[in-house]
Amino acid sequence: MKKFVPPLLIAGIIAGMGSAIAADVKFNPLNNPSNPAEFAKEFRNYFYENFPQIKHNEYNMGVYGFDKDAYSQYKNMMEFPPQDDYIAKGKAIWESYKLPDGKPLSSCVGDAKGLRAKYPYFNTKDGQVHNLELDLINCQKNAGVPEDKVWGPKQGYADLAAVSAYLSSESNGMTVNVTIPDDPRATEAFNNGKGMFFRKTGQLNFSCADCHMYHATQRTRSETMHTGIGNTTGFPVYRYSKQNMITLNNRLFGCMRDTRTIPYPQYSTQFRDLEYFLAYIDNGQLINGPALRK
Amino acid sequence: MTLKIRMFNKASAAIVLAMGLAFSGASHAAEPAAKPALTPDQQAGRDIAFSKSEGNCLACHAMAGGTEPGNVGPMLVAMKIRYPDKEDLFKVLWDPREKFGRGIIMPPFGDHKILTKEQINQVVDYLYTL
Repeated sequence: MKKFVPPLLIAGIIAGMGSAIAADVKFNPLNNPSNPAEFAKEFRNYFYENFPQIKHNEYNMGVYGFDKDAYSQYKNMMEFPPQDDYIAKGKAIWESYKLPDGKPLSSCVGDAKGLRAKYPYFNTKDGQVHNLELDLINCQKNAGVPEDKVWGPKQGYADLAAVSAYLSSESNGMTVNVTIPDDPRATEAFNNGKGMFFRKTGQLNFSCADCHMYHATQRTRSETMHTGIGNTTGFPVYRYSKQNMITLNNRLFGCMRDTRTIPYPQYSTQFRDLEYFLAYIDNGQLINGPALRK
Repeated sequence: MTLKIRMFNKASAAIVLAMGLAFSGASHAAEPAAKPALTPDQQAGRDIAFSKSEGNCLACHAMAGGTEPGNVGPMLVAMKIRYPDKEDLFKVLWDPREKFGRGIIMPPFGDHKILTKEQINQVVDYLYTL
């Protein structure tokens, strides 16, 4: 008798495989509300235990660290790294740009080498999380650059992203080392960022954690979803699909918009706190920007 | 909450697997059975389910005839047997949080007005053909 494998049986096996890779270790985001270090440890352990296929030092490559097909596409795209033009452009702007008082941007934020590795940080003087791009923008504003010449989210964005790419390249290979100072406001900023990560939002009712934690490494259509570790190391990233250099703030803003909600304003406390949370999770990873993403 | 989702995934996979085995004889005998053409409502439901901007069921669920499906949710197959009462299936699409808890990743298509009641009914009609 001819062997016959019914389609339903195949369907059952495929469906079974799909669920087999779903996360198996429990995690409670409400644990350790007052101890960011302990929380981050649990958060990372969730990934280490659920996704042993991902090597610790490859989390900073996003999906290319564990998806072979995506990695081979990545290799192809990297044959002529599109980031290089942005780095060169950013370097030229960084070196020629003059604030109204005739001084360069480095007079305001410090030298390019290793600058990106200092961000994000919590400033105990103003009680805020500082983001590299926003600090550059504030340098311009404080020095009296006219409103229409400031590198805002729309006008001047290309220049800002290029400078950011250059600064990222100048911190390449350094280690993410975000600290949470002994200040209740710093812990609050971290927890606020954590809330941004775990809170469901928008018409589609998604949280960051839904896709990048509980269903990480699974696929939506043909896209493999990356994990919640190593998100900040490569920024800004050149996105092949957008053919553009994208800052972290811009990416988080777009991500939130894609849940079909009205996102918080760019560079608002909420996005900076989220960046603070994500970067703290990435402590110990190597900075590898400007990176390339699909 | 996530545990619940995972249990659901595994349970449904097991059910589908069991059904695959149980119906292997029947589908053998019926082969090759030509699928009846879809009614206009079923076809409209199929279009919504496959469209990226509307239902986008394929983003997470494998479905017969759909290319490059995601694997976040269970495969949509034998829906008539899994949901003998059509109203139960409608309710899951309207707001899956009622059945699976509020941690569920699936969007509440009706409750959040992503699709209209009529559209959800069309999708249910189509799912019943799977």
